[in-house]
Amino acid sequence: MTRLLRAPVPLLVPAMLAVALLVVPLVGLLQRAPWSSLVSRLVDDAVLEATRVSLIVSFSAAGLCLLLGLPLAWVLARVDLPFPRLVRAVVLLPMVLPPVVAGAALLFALGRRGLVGQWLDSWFSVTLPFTTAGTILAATFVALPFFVTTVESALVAQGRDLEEAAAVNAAGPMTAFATVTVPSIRGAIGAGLALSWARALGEFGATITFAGSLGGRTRTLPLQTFLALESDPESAVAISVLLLAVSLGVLVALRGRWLTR
Amino acid sequence: MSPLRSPTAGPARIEVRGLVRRDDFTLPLDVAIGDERTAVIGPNGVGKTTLLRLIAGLERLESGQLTIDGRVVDDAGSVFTAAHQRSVAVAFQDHRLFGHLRVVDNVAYPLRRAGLNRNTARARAAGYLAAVGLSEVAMVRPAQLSGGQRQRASIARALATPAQVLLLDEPLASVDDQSREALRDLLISTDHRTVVWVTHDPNDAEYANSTLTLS
Repeated sequence: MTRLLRAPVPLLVPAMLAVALLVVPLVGLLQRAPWSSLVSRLVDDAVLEATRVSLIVSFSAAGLCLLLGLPLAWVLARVDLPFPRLVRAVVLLPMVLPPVVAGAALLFALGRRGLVGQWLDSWFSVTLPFTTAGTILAATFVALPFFVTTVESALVAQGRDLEEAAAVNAAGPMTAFATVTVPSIRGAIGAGLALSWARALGEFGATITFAGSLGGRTRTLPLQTFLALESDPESAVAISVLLLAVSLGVLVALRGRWLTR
Repeated sequence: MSPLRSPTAGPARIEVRGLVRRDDFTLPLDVAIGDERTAVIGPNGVGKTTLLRLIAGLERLESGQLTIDGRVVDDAGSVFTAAHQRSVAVAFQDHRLFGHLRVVDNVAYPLRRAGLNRNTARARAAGYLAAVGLSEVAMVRPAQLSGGQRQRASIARALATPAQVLLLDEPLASVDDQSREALRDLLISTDHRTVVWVTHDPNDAEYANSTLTLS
């Protein structure tokens, strides 16, 4: 390995600039943090309410990712699909789609007059926009690909060998899935849950477009941060520090997976 | 020890006639196995492992038909009995132990699938582990075993599987010379009605009632 100072300057300088670009905003945030009143700002009623909404939304979204994403990852990894590239692109799309577009798309599909939403409304009296359920749906939409890709690549890496071994030991497909496949990729499932939960926790654009910013129902911590920037910047900074700490916590929890090589 | 074995029944007859697709060519097979202990020999790449995979139900015929005891289990079309529904046990060459389970629970796995409760399955699995000389490592995970130990654990799991047919893919390839003889005797004396044994070792072939040479 080359020592830092012996690295070619044309590579070293941009690399350092890149690190600075990532670090300076965090320093900017931390130096504005009202450290002495941090806790009191976080137990403010509006912030607590947003925290409650955020916890409900992010954990529900992670749960939905597990419930729907685990079978989807298995199908993508094990089944010969028609148009596999197209299917995979559709699954990955929310990772690169501008979140506000995701929100608009959800609105046109599930809004009261939307493609599916009008039937939900007239048949079941279910309305999703501007509800906590809608917020959960928006968060799940953007978080699902993080879970699916993490689990799918673990399934592909593991191959079919162990599932074959289960099959010749008289395990039917569902038994093999539950007793062999899932336990042997539990690390990837945990990583996928952490990533999708963190993505759901930080979700902003799709949420505000599809579910608005209603206190106690759809206003999550990121929305509360944005709102507070106008009226109470120190509160916004306090929430930001909290979310930064949570994000770092997720990375630390995943360190064995992405921070080593 | 294998509950499915009826004491009066002779060996299960296995017939494979047809084509199987390999990566870049199709392989013709015309094989009848009718003896209790059949050794399968032949150079690398002639389809010895593929033959076992077909019998086990891990691969499908491209054309033709596969019967076990006169029953068609694969006709290259609508009839295909899935692996878990065939009465077949397999010791894989690459062991394929379940990494999340202790060694004893790997061996107990097929017994649990056969409906035994956890304790009974473990007790019976311990017997098979003792037979292959692995009692001391029963409670560790497969990752802590040596290559030879893994192969012995894999043999124990296959022996524990209640099935008519036992398929062995080079089961003794990575065990040491001292234990090879004892393991060979163990495999020969299993209750499975039919044993199909892929091997490179002429000593293994000597123990078989018949030898099938693929070429």
